[in-house]
Amino acid sequence: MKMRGPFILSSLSAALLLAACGGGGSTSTDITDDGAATPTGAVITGTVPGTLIEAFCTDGSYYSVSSTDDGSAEHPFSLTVPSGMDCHLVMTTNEDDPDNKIITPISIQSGSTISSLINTQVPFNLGYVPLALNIDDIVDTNGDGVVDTPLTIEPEVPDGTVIREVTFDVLDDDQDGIPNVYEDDDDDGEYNLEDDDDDNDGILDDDDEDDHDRDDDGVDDLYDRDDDNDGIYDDEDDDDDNDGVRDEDDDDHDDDYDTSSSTTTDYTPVSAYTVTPGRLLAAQCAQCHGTNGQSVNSWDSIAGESAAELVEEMMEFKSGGEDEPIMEAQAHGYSTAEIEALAAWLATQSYSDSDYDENDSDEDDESEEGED
Amino acid sequence: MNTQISRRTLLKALGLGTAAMLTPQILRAETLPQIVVVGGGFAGATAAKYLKMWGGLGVEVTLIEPNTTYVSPILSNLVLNNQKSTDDLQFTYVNHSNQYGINMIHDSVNSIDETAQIVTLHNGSTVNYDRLILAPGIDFIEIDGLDSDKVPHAWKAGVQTNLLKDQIDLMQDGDHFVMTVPAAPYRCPPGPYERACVVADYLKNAKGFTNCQVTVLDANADITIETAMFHEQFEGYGINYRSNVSVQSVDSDARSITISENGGVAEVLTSTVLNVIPNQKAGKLLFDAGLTSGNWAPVNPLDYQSTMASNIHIIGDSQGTGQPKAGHQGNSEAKVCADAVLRSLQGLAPDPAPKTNSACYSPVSSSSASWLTAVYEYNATTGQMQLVPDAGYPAAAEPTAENYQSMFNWAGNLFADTFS
Repeated sequence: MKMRGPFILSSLSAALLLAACGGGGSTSTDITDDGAATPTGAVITGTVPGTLIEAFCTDGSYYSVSSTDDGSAEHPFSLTVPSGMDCHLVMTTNEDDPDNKIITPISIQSGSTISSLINTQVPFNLGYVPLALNIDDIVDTNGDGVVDTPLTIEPEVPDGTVIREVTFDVLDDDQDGIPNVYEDDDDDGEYNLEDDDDDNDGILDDDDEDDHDRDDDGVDDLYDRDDDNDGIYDDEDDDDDNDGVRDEDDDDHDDDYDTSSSTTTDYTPVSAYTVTPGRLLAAQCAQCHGTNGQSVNSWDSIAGESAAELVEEMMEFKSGGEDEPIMEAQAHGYSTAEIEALAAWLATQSYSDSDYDENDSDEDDESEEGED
Repeated sequence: MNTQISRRTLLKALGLGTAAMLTPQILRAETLPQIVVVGGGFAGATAAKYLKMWGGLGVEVTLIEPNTTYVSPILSNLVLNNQKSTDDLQFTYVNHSNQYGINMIHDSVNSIDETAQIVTLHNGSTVNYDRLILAPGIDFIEIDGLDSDKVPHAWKAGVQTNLLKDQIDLMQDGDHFVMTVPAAPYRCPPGPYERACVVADYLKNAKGFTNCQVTVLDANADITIETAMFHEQFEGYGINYRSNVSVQSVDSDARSITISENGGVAEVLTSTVLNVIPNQKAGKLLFDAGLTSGNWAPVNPLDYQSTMASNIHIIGDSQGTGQPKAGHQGNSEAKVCADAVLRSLQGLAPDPAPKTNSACYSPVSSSSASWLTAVYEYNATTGQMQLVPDAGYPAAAEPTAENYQSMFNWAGNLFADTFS
């Protein structure tokens, strides 16, 4: 266990910090290397002293890149994170020097809001981030190399980027702006990520049955898209817990909940909820016809048909003209105006937007009929 | 079915996370509305999903549910006759977390502070809410001597379902199966009658037992739903049906039950397999929070807000609107509630004319099923939901093989609409 004494905040100016730049490995790492997580996402850019930039996102995914040493004091970096996902940024200077590395979580100020949760769907340029380079210049009460309070910067926040205030942040339980990985829960001078025994119960985390969070990011392994924060999504990672044993041969850990990135939904941000006519009524069709009218089996999908077709069908059911007694019974429950409203909304739903593509749908059809 | 408690949360609760105490809190200027949903069954899981699907990045949604997997009671009678296993009926919350960005907390709620708008979890940690949606399902009304680990109810699916299945599988020809039907309202109106048929069919046609007796002890005056159809089925199977039967006590080791029929003298029945489904009430959480009247939690059906507390909504089997207590219906109510909650955050009134529907396919053998359906509307005069008039509700169909196949399409889309 490393112990360092408490440090006092220095009054060094940003200019002096800049002058000290030069340490640390600033080699560029291409995060699109084979196997690395490649989100369809938004690019965060900026310049820093020689630095490792990490992003921790609420789905448990992890991204990192080193800044590029271009000979200047302000090294550029570019990191792609998932679009529309809440992420924390952490920057480490002197990252290759264990005794002098400085870990600085980043907060963003936007207007009166200060938060460490960045959610962007567009390129976001942080500008220059004035990170400390000298360990004596930071406030680090427990000597774990992590600054006690995040560095707040005030870049221009573009439309499509939201600095998010939440009351529950899985990545930062105590909402102090220091992500869980860089907290020191047991206060032993080692932050959780490098601490082999986070709860000081004498049982190493790897053997600790009460540890449901291998990478200490706060996201339960059940829901963690990258259980070991190695930058490879679990569904592409042959060794989810990074113990050197391939998942198929590994008794102690394999993520049964590997999820494909294709199911991730991009949300349209809504600052004001507006009433969408017909949608609530149409949602009452979903119990039998699937979410947004997209059936997952051989029962009819009702998304993507024209409103006129849907209305005509419902009216035929209502008249008893079709031999579909359960739809006849349901059709009697809705007025013509209601049928027109729900049909108009369903007509806006494209079947191809479904999470279940044609192939999946066909497979489901077969399995439903075959197995059941 | 183990409870997962985040070790990190526990550490924080125990005060071991000292960093929080040493560092000043950042001043927070704005906060996204936080909607907390308690209970991950058909109602709660649907509400959480639709809140995020419709509310997007404008809201934070947290789902609190003790279990990491859910076993659907829908179709679970088919576990008893080997047509399904509980594994087939098992769902997780991975889509809720990964696809919709819902915060999952696997714990139970100990208490609710309505004034401060805070729920306290079993592990001691707290979660603030702007809106709270409670979907705790049902609780059972205690019966003297009943130990459900010996005499299963199998009315919450999972361990209980398999316990009853194992007991049925040990039956020999000539053995007796006795089950009770709770007093209405109870979860899944056709369910108990469906179970009697499925078990009778299994013993007779799968096991080849011609001398087994199936007895149904109904707390109600008659079969509560699809009455003529179930009477016909009971006759076909030779099921012994007795109505107006109240349960006085159970001897769980002897598998005997003391009953009174039509208020008459006590009578003791002993059975090889005894399946006692007790009378039901709202989840304990609602009683503890003082949100109940009688056995259920009264709500306004426009937004499912409790009539006894602000910013607390109750959906699914615990709510007291008189709509049927069933998974399909709970899913339906959840959408009305989710829409109304999102509207309320913007100061908008709920939809003044919401509709809900119920539909249920009931297997009566390993190859045939009936169905039942209805649509409910809001009556502005009574302030209650009612069956849409003059539509012939509830509508029902005779058991057929075609309906048996359709049952899996119905359940498949309902499961996906709730958990995918």
